[in-house]
Amino acid sequence: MNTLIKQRPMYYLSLSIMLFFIVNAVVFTVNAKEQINNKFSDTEDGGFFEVTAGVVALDSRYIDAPKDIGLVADLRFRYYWNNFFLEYEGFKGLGFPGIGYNFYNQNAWMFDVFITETHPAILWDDEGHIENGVISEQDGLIGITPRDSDDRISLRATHFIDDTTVVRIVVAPISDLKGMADVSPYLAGWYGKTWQHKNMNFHATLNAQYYNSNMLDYYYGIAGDDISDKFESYKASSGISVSAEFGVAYPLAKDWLLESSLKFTRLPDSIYNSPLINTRLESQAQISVTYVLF
Amino acid sequence: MITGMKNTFAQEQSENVVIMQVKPQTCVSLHEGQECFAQIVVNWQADLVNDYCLYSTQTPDPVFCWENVSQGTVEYELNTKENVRFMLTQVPKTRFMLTYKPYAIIAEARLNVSWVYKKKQKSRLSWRLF
Repeated sequence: MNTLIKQRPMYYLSLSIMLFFIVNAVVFTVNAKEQINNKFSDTEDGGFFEVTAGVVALDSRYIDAPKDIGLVADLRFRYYWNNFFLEYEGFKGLGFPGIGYNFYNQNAWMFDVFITETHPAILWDDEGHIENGVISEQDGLIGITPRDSDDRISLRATHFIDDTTVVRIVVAPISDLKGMADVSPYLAGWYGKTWQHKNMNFHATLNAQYYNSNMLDYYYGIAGDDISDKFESYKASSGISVSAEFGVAYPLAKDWLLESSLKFTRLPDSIYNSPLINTRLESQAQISVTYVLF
Repeated sequence: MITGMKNTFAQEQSENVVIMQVKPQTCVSLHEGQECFAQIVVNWQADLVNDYCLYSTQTPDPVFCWENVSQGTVEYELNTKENVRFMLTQVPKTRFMLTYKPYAIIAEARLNVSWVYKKKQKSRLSWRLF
């Protein structure tokens, strides 16, 4: 097995902080059970933590990737402490646990500064399969230089239009892909809506993400030692990916959920002809059971 | 939940032991404050044949009434944000007799409403979406 692993100090830092938050969360939960009226605003100390396990089917964007169906287990959590927060939304989210600070939460607006991953690493492995919902180790990409994840400081604005509709924008102009702060615009927007039918809760989200040319060329361009018979030289320019997701959650019992979702992502035109790319439309379906610890 | 309750106003004549149960006992919705939907089945059984009415805390009108029976079942769909209490009352045959309390509750059962996410938060909405 030839596994290429990127050293990600921010990842380990976030894990350490995550442990701190989890310990605090457990203490908080014990205390919370003693409270009669346990009400919170969005950013008061506390949070939630859930574990999900299920089946994911993925038609990956990468060349020669298996159309894989696999079992996945994942954590999802968000915890606030003095307006600092740690969150991880699982394989549905942008990336590894985000660490941030909420500096505005009034009426229907929330503003956060946080660090998160805006593009996952591209690794390869002879035995690569679905891992946490993503084929992160691509045996079809054997021979290329591994690509690091893009970890960025971001500004996130969330606007609650009503009780069922949310708009979110993330602006992250600084990249660390070159080992130092580099101006490399990244912009993402989401529109999400939920609705209820009986005890089923449906949701639909639309998402668009803008990547600048440096970012897309880093991940999907072919140059230098990467050039081979299989991977011809390629330079990617900037582009926009769009995605749509439809999902449903059904409460099975107190603390237990059945969830399912289907997501399609249309890749930027500028990378469609990359030798690393197999399909313009990436799709993912999942069905899972979730246990909400708190 | 099974609740047995002695018929207090009938005790002077005879003891009417009533057993009533509600299925399901718990209705679970996703969020606190969200309407919870349930197909409710209420079963009851009494020792004495009489007229009975089933009430709930959702409405002042009876859910269902029975005449000259000692047992009954009613099934219907409800939606609620709060716990629902069901009360079986015995309709007195001789209402003019002031010594009797008309429509006294002779059995109770409860549908409890629970939530997966205990807190109604805006961020919970975004959590579900993004």
